[in-house]
Amino acid sequence: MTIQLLREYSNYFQWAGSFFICIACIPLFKNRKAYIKTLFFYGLSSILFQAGQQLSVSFFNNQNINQIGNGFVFFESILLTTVFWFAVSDAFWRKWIATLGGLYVIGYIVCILFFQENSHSLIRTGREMLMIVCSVGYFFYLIRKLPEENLLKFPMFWINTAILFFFAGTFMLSLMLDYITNVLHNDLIGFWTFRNFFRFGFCLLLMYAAWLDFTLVKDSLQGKKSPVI
Amino acid sequence: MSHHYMKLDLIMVDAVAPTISEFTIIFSIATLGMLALAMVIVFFVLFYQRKMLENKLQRQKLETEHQEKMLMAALESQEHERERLARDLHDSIGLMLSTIRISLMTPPKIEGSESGMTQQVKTMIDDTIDSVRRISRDLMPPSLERFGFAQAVHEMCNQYAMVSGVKVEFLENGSAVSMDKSKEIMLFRIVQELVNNALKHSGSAIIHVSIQWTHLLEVKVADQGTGFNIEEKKNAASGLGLFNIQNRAKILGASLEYDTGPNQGTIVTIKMRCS
Repeated sequence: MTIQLLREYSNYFQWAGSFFICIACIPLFKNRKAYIKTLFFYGLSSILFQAGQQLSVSFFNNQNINQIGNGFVFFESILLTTVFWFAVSDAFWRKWIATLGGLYVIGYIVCILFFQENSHSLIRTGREMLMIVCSVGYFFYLIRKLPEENLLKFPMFWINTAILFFFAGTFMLSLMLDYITNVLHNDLIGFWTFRNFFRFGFCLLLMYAAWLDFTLVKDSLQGKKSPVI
Repeated sequence: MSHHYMKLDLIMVDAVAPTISEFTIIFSIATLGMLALAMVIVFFVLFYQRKMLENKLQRQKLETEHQEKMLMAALESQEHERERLARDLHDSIGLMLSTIRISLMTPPKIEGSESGMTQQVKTMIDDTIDSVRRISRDLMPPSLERFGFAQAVHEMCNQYAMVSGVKVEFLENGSAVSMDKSKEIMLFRIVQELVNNALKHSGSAIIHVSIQWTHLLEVKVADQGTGFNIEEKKNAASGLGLFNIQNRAKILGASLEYDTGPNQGTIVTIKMRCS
């Protein structure tokens, strides 16, 4: 198996992962928590952007493939920040999340307009940092709230864990992205294949969280008690 | 010009740049480090939550136990009071009334002795009235109602001294401030319990009760007796009297200090705001 083929498979895996997230979010959609609904749109946007990239590869000779990727980075950051925004109930925490999200948007625009040479690396590193900060912040929020139920029963715990692991794992890659391509003259195929498989794992964790939420919603609709933060 | 400098920089970076395999190793170590850090954070949160919950449950358990003990103390105290009242009623009033009844039922054996018997019955009725007064005073000292807390404590000290034979000294400093009646009663009960405890358990020949009025009301009950280990008493199941005192002090918002130890006597200080 060549690395190109592996890369192609990793793309399909990634695609499937996003699809699984959407599928897990759809049942009882109306009754789902706002952050799960946002997660659905995250999965959907991921599918659409990947379709866009696939179209670019298949029909337009890789034209605008990086722009599509950069566009997804923006949407991903906003949607996942919104997930955190919905997951916390205090105005204080929401303010912080909104401020961080706002700062990222400004940073993103500045990078795209004024630092085009390193923008791929900068916007991705910024996204990773934003997600890591939100994730660690959410854990801190959880500790402060101290729910009495087992944390493993909370969908948001799994979403947060997935985000922390994935973005901590891809942080170095994002940071070194431009260095790898410009200085080491590497086509990133090996790194990116690994990253895509890693993202598949991330999607599976998000899917598990969405499924867990589904079981809780179903239980609560049947009058059973479900954990609440 | 600047463009040339940039190109030169890039060439220099190229010269010192690691090979892709060297870079991959460094990159992998750094990525693994980040993942390890993420794992540490997740496990820390899980562990910390469990630890905090255990502590919280432990605290709740202790609090429940404490409240149960308080409730027991209150019930026991109520029960003691009822027992004492029942004993008083039975031993004095009941007995006297029975004697009066028998006296009235029994016809005088000697002619002309009616007036003597009437006198005897009258004396017994007077004694009964005195007993009723005493019981009533024990339940709620009239001086507390009429003259306030300090006077009631003073009278209580005199009565205890008279009954027990132990010297109970009373000292008051400062000008008295009027308080809520409910607070006065509760404070009076605390002092009563403290003096009672000193009389029963300390073995001291003298007990000092002092009241100091400033912006705070400070009441001290001191004896020179055997003293006790405060922690042992708090933990002992029999220390319900102590719990009762603490309970009342807590309701009053008063602070309670014990200065005691085995064979060191005991000084109990109560401090509370008057207003």
